[in-house]
Amino acid sequence: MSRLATLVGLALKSAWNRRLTLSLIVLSVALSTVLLVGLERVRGQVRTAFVQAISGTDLVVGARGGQIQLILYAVFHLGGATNNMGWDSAQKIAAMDGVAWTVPLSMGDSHRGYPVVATEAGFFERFRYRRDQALEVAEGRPFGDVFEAVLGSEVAARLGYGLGQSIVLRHGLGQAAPDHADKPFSVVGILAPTGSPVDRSVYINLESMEAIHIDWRGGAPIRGFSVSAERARKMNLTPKSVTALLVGLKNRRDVFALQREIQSAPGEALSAVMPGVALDQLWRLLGSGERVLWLVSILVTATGLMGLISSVLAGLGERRRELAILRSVGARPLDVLALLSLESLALTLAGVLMGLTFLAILIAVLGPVISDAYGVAIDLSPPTAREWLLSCAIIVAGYLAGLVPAVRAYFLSLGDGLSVSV
Amino acid sequence: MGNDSPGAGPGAGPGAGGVAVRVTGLRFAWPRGPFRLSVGSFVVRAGERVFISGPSGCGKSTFLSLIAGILRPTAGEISIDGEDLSGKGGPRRDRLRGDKLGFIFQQFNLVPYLNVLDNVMLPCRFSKARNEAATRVSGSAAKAARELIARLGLGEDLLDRPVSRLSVGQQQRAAAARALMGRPPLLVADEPTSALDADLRLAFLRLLAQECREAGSALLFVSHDRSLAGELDRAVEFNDLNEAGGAG
Repeated sequence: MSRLATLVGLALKSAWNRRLTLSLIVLSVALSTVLLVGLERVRGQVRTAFVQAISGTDLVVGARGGQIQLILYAVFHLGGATNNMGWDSAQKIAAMDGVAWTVPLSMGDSHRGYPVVATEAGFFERFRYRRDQALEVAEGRPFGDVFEAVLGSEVAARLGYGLGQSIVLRHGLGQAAPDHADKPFSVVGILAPTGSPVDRSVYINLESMEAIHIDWRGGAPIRGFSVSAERARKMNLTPKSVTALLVGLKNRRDVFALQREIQSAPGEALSAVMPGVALDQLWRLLGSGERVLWLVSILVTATGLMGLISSVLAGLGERRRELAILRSVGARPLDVLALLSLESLALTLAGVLMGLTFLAILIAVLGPVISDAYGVAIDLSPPTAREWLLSCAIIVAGYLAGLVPAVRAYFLSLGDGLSVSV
Repeated sequence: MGNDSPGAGPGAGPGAGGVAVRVTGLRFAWPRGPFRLSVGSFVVRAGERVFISGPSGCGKSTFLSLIAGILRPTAGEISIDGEDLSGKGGPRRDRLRGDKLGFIFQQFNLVPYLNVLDNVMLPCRFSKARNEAATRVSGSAAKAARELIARLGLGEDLLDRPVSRLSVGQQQRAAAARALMGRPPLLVADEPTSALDADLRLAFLRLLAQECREAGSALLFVSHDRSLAGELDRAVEFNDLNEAGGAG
């Protein structure tokens, strides 16, 4: 039997012999692992959900203003409404060389707190999230006619709506705003869950948006004038303006050229934003909170490892006799060092494996709950490269922490030799 | 064959193969302590069983640590089974100790988390030479360990028992079995009987002496209990050996 195998065997037996004390160390390493790797998992998936809330769209165009504000409003339906851009500008962009497709978005209304997005049927084909994932209609069909609505999965689930449900839209996002009770919508489709803001949106076509506002002016119904839903249907429902335009290019490499062209075109002042870049910038802006979380979990891990150091150190006094016996049968002081550090290594290894198992169970149990509550999908998937790296970092840190008592044992056994007065 | 070879200079030469321990011109002092040890010449022949007596605190344990290669002499030479210890570095002295020495301490001889069998087999784990020797004699190290455990009067039922559930007498016999594993040239027993009841001491010493003869191992038996001195081949008073006369 090789020397290393002997030492590993001894370290394991010794650890097993003190399993009650050591299991607490393993547990604290496991909890550190759950925290550190779990945080990384959540961070990674939240970032993916955020940064890839929209993909496949090369530019988002809107009225001249803040880039981040435009993205927040157009993609996440958050923040203050941006100015609208003219429909003619949208048409002009659609006709530009190099533009493959455009999908207009018009916003401002809501249904029970969920934003209403007016768009074209092309939206369901063109819109992509995550890595080029297309939307799927889980039930029913995309909207076709005026006064038809398609619901995001969360809207349908939360409000308990099914196909054929009649819903009333409210002007603006506030609860106190006037509603469009005279022109109810019928639910014709429900989208499959995406883990993106789509889940929390109601989709209608642009004509419907025009129709419900046909007898409105300046954000309120025109007094003494109303147009019935039936009559509105027959009127000219071409929009005069939209909130934003999603633009897909024939060739991605033209994105900078087109961005410049759109922003410098004569006429209406427009902003063209590359959504991936803007979202990435925004994520980095939010990163300081993330760093604090990191710091806390690293401190927790350090505390766990200090627990390891102190309990192995504390146990050393009782083990001096045992180390002297090992030296009497030919163990070198270096073997003593190896024995102790192997023990710490085994403890950390067990702790990390236990932690990863805990985490998997936790995700399996809580994943659906989190997904329901926050719309962030936390998948039960094998650890990512970064998560493996983190786990290895914990193991290395545990090994290094274990060197503290190991070096102490080395010097103790060097000094004690064979004679320890117990 | 002469008992002693007084004044034997460095490189004692012929007959070294038949010598278990040879100490020549040994001097030792703790770095800051007053204690000095000085042994002009001390020889234990192969297979010879020597009783060393002396009051506690006279430096016997220090002497044994020097023979074991744990401590390094300030001057002089120590060789075990013909191999010089004093000139070697730490790891080589550790290896020599594993290969050539069996130890029995006063008490707490056994590694608490190993059972009796694993404790007895411990020397074979650290020393290839001991493992090979045990295998040569009995076919395998485990078999050699079982045989020794049986010869020392420990029942089969004790083999996998945790050592904490052994009596002190059983522990000392398990320690003797471990020291005898692989038939090392020299056994060193440092007050192995002082934790035992009076009526067990003599029996233990006799058993140990008999097993040493069986294994062909020399024995250095250190005790302050002079009543046991007559049981072995030769008895030495430590204070006669130590020319420095202990403290001073």
